[in-house]
Amino acid sequence: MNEHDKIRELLALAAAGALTSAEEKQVAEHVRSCIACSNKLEAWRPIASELRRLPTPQPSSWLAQATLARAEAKLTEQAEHDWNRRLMIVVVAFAWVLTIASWAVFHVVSERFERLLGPQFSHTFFSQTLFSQRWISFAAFTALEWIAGGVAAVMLAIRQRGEGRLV
Amino acid sequence: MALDADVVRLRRGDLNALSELITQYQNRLYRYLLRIVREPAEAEDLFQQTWLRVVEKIRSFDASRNFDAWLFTLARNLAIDHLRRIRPESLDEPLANSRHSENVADRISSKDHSPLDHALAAERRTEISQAMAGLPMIYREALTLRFEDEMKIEEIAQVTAVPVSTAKSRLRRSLEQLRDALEARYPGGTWQ
Amino acid sequence: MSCFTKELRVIPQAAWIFAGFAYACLTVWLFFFVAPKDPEMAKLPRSVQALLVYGFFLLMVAWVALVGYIYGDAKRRQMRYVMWTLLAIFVPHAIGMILYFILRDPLPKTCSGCGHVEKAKFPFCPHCGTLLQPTCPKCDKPVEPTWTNCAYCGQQLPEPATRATQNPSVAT
Repeated sequence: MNEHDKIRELLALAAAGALTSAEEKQVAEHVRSCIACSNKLEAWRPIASELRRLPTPQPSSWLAQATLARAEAKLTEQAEHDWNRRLMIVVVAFAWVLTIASWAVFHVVSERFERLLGPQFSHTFFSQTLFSQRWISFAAFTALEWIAGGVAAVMLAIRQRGEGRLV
Repeated sequence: MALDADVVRLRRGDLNALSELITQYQNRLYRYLLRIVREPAEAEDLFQQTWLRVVEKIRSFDASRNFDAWLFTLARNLAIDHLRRIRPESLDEPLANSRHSENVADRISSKDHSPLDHALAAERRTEISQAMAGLPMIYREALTLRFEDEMKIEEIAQVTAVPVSTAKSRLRRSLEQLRDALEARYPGGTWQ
Repeated sequence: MSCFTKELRVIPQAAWIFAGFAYACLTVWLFFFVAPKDPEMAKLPRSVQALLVYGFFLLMVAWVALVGYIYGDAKRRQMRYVMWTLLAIFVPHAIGMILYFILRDPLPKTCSGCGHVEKAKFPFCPHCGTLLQPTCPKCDKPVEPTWTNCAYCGQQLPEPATRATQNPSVAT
């Protein structure tokens, strides 16, 4: 491709001001000596200048206000949502901490309890199942508690949703 | 820059910052959307949706990035999704007769002095608006971003999600097609 | 985090007093009287004992504070606060508390007409009938300001700035 063709490709972009400084220098130098290309460049000028001065279309006068109202509502809704999510994470973590802590408490309390009852109970069925396999019994107990909690949750959720539909 | 301060405040949930940003971008954003979808009512609706999307995603926006480009990218994506659902053909093909452009040309506010200049300038701008409205969407977009928003080529490339070279060649082709359209409609006129 | 401090004020004073008092009593009793005599605890250095006793009972303080919060919060949201407080206390492992936070009602709104505080889900005030919340022009269901169409009947909604004035308030 000879130089004219190359420059001609850049002319439109030159009128748009979208060339790198190296490319602009290239075009300026060529145009100084080549009248044909110079004319072509000038032919772009009116289009470019009118494009720059196109009137700005005006939106309706209430657009900004309406958008603001909607966006503000969304912003507050999101802030609440974020806050609730953080709160839930804290409460769930707390629930787990309580579960683990209750293991420790159970361990401590049952040891003291065992010692208090004295060795005469160590041969009974009660102490053998409950206290010797202490961890298993406690795990079972915790599982029962969580299941009970889960059932309560499901019942409450169903009731809540039922109420919601009536209103 | 005051804009960056507003963006930072918006991230913290400041409502006044939101109001200022919306007013600041009102004309530019509306104009960009209008150039893409060519219907004022749709452009206004998309304008609102863009700002709702901004509120949704402002937390994940890195304040050191260019807010302009991000805002326009959000708007662009919404507009393209909208067009895909409503008028998919308008995304690719140029319009045979640009009836949409009349809405754009209606709101002319000319700054020229003499009545003759005023008439000539208004006429030229109408011609350009109409010819532009008949171009394919990516060309309209390139023209409005470069000439009306005065975005640098690098920013345009960012907003339209293409490499800089593609953005440049799109701009060039858009100008060439615009000139061809003008010469075709007004042969022997001021555009030769 | 001013949101956090605002929420802390929901906890009734009584809860803090009770928690503080119980904390002081229990930790002092355990640390000074029970721990030294206990064979296992005595093996640990006093600082570790202090950490265990005082740290562990902070959990208790947190638990009482949460129960207090649920009491105050359920009250201001006009829910059945006695039921929820009992649930929070007796459903084990804070599951009751989790349930409460999932299922709680939104904050009630103040009526602009008569000043009564009403539940957020009511579109009209039960005392004076003023419109509290914009409603759909076609199906009269309450609509959110961020909506462009009614979620119940699909009707396109007018702009939020004009919505409230278009819906007439119903006289009781």
